[in-house]
Amino acid sequence: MVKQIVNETKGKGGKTGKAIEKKKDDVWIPTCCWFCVMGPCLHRYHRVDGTVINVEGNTSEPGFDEWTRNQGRLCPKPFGLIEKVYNPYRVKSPLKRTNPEKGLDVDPGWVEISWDEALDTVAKRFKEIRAKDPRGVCSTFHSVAQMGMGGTWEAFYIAFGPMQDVRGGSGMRCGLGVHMFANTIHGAFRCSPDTNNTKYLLILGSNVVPSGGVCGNLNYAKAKKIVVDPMLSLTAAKADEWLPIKPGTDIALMLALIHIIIHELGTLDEEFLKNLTNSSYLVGADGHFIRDKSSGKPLVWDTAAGVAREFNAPDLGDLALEGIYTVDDQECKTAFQLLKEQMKQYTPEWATEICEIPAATIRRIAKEFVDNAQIGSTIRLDGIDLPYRPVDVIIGRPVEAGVHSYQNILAQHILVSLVGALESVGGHMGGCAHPTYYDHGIKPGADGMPQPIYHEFTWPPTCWSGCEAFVPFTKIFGHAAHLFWINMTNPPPGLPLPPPPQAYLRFRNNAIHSVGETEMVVSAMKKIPFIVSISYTYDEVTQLADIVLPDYTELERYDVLSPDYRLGSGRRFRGILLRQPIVEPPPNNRDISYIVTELADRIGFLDTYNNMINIRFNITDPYKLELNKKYEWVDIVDRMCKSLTKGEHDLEWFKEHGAIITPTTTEDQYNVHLHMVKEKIRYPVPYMDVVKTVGENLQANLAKVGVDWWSTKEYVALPSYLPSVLDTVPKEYDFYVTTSRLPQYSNASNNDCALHNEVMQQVPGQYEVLMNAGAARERGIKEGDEVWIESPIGRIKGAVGLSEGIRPDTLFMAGQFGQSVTPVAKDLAKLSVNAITPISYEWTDQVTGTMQSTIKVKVYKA
Amino acid sequence: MTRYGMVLDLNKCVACLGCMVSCKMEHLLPPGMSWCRVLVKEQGTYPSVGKTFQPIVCNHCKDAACVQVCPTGATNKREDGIVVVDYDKCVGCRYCMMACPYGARYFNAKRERYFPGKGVTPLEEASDKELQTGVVMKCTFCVEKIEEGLKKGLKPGVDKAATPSCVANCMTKARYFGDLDDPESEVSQLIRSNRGRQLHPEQGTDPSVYYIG
Repeated sequence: MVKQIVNETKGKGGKTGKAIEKKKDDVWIPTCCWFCVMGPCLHRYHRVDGTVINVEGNTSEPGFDEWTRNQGRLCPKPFGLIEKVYNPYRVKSPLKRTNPEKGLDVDPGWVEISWDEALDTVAKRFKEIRAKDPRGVCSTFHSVAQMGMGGTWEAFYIAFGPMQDVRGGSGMRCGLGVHMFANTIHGAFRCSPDTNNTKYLLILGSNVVPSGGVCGNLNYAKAKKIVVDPMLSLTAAKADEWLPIKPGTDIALMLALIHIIIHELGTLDEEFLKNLTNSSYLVGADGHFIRDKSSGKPLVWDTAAGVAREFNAPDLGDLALEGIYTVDDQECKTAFQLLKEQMKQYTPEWATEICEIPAATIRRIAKEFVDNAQIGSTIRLDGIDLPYRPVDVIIGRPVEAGVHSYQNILAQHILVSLVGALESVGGHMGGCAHPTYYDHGIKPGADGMPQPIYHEFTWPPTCWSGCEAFVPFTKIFGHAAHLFWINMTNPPPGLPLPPPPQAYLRFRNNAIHSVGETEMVVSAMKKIPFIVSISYTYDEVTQLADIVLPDYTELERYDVLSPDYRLGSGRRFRGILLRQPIVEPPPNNRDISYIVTELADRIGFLDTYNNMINIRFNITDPYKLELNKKYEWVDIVDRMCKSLTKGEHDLEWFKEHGAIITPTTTEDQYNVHLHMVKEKIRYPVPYMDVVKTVGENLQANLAKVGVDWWSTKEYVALPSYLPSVLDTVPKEYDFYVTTSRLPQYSNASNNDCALHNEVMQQVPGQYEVLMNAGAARERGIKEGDEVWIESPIGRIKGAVGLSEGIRPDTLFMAGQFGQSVTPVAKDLAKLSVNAITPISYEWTDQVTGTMQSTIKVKVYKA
Repeated sequence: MTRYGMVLDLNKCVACLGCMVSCKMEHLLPPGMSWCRVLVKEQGTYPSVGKTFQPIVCNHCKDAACVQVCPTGATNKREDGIVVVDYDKCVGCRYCMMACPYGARYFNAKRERYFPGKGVTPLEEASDKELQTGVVMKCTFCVEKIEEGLKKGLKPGVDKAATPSCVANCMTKARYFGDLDDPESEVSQLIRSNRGRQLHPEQGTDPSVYYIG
């Protein structure tokens, strides 16, 4: 028996016995974090004698622990914000290059300059360019900067005039493909399950459980999860079932599931399909909706009347879901009939040959999905009866980014539609709706479905990415940014491009590592004569910059998140949230808002810039900014606080309380469904007539201008199986490479945080090139061996980690590493699949514009 | 009598490592030292393979081997069951590290820095004030938080400010803390209803950390 000793604890942790030193400054400061799309989360940071030493979830105000995303909890990422403050490699003065030669391994010869010199140099150059055409400047920036958390950056970006838009998630950061179709289908920025109520999740290629932050974890934990992934990801490890699918064949699985539901189970939410989708619309032999000759409106078959009628005719009887009809002597079929016919071929036996998941398993999953959907059930929430369909299909980046991603996204939405789970309680929701676009998303178009948004064909294209000419649906929430870098280096013959960009303004993101084919991006970037990097550290883009403007980190600055900006998945609360400085910034750094205000003033568009601030931040009288006066960011923040609370609270109040939040109402949470029913708008599935039409117009326009190298064959109305682009890779490249989001890094740029990197080592395989142990044995490769990973465009060398939890034909590599310049991150000496991921027009999805994210390589010992 | 203990739900842990980062920041731990870890293990052969995530901390054993072997009394057990180390008494002999069946103790040999050659960061300066070198360290159940909380009338395991930070911050709510001697506490109820297990019970140390799930 151990003798127990009473020990009065006096020092920290009861260890030293020293009396606690009285701290002069010892406070917890409320703020919010939005470093990933799962936020915002409410946090508070602990500052002692001027040093921030800790963070925790903020539960200091009523409701904070109940309604907020993080419910008083933390994901690993915010600790990285503390580390960034004290990163000794921060840029701490404006810099200019003295060595004209540029390269990742070339010393720029930095010299420190004054802010006046730096800002005047940039302003002078930008002013000259802007006077001719603002598109002479191209720009990329961190995704949160466009979510209202980048100070006045976005106001500057817009007010400057149309810069060449090179942002977009073509790289590791974003799935991209879903954004434009989440909008087209249900007026949203992205999709997610109704996390609080879902019960059955089919997760394809997504590591959402740990990477979804607190929100993902707390809520997904309750649902049964079937994870389809070539690798036993952390999500798969926590799932009820792991199905190691052959990479790039998810479409075959989804088509087979649709086949089973329609042809074998026959269990459908017919009421939903008839009334809230275009299933009953009649389609003619040309593959387009049959329209009323005088009104031009699409027709449906009214079974009661036995005739075709306009989709929104009053007193419509029961609509035909299936069948072949004759209208004006023309044979036509319902959209659902066409779906049924097209899906006939996609049997589970067919699918198993492609995706290597047993047919019996596919049948069981389909049955479970349908059974869990509880078709026909309703739930009463706050007195409102709503459809209850607690099932969803989640697709991750390898599935929604790459060639055929449109087919995948469409199949995903058809799957949930068949059981009526689109925007239902527990079902497939649109999240993170952006009000500016949101209204467009569910505004009824002429055909009774949400008004689609796409680029009109523009020739020659005005941007070097050529999106207006080649990928029209990228107009909303999308941008095939990788095409910009291709066109800068090796444009297709005869492509007329605007004058090349004269300057590149970069705020915080890292295009060199977040796209693909790193060497190509570097060579493209070097062609831009003047690069301005707003950066807190000496990263790869900064290495190529001419002027460096060092900014504040997230713990040194203000932001206000306005209540209507986004709801996001879960939709549990609305609020006005303050981000506030926890510590003093380095003396010679400046906030992003100061930097762009000075630039707007010196370039000469302060008036339009201030006007845009008023618009973007909803600042109304009497707090509006005067147009020709220069404001400090803290003053603007105070005005935002007052304006958003109608004068009730100022910045000082928010600094003390952190946020005002209220729980969302049932109407808020299920607003899309309620809106669609009220306005009689239908989801544009299963039959994407609009995509087919846009594709045909695009084909005609491209033919007119003599482009025959860009295909539009994927602009189809119904999903179909198309062989993977990877089938065209020579057989010697015998491994697939898949990738995943890591919870410590995803969306957080934490790879230059030493403590994070140390902790990460605890999970084997997240850093390494992960290889199946049996496959490695066959090749004489042992744990830790150095190997070359070679794709058709290049090779990289790294250490192998072995695992049984990955298919024998697949490697895993994260995309968040591979830095060669960024301090701390480069010391990891880990590989990034992005470096050898080919980017090309052929490997770009024709409809979503996303770049291929799963690639093929060969592996051999170094 | 109070005996503080922890319950870790293996079903809920997703190996996000938030507890590790949280612990390291709470105690300003130097490079190479983590009082709280998550062991990730793969079991089986493809395709019948699974991964398990097992969070581990000091077990604060009722019959702690480390306390028995400590020659100076530096490692001692408080009345509330928490095993602590008095750095001023620790001579760095490391017998306790050999005695601990769980590998839960760490020797802070010398000052290690996260950014060699780049000086000392303010975080490391703060760490230096708290952590001595040449002594053995380990998880303290954040005893300082508990004591401060109790002074304010808060309840450890219930009120965040009086709860170990790995528990308070865990994003999957996989960790619980409370009084094992109170049959009505959440931890006692969880252990009862989920057949809570201790690590290596055959060692006879009677850990205060239980696993469920």
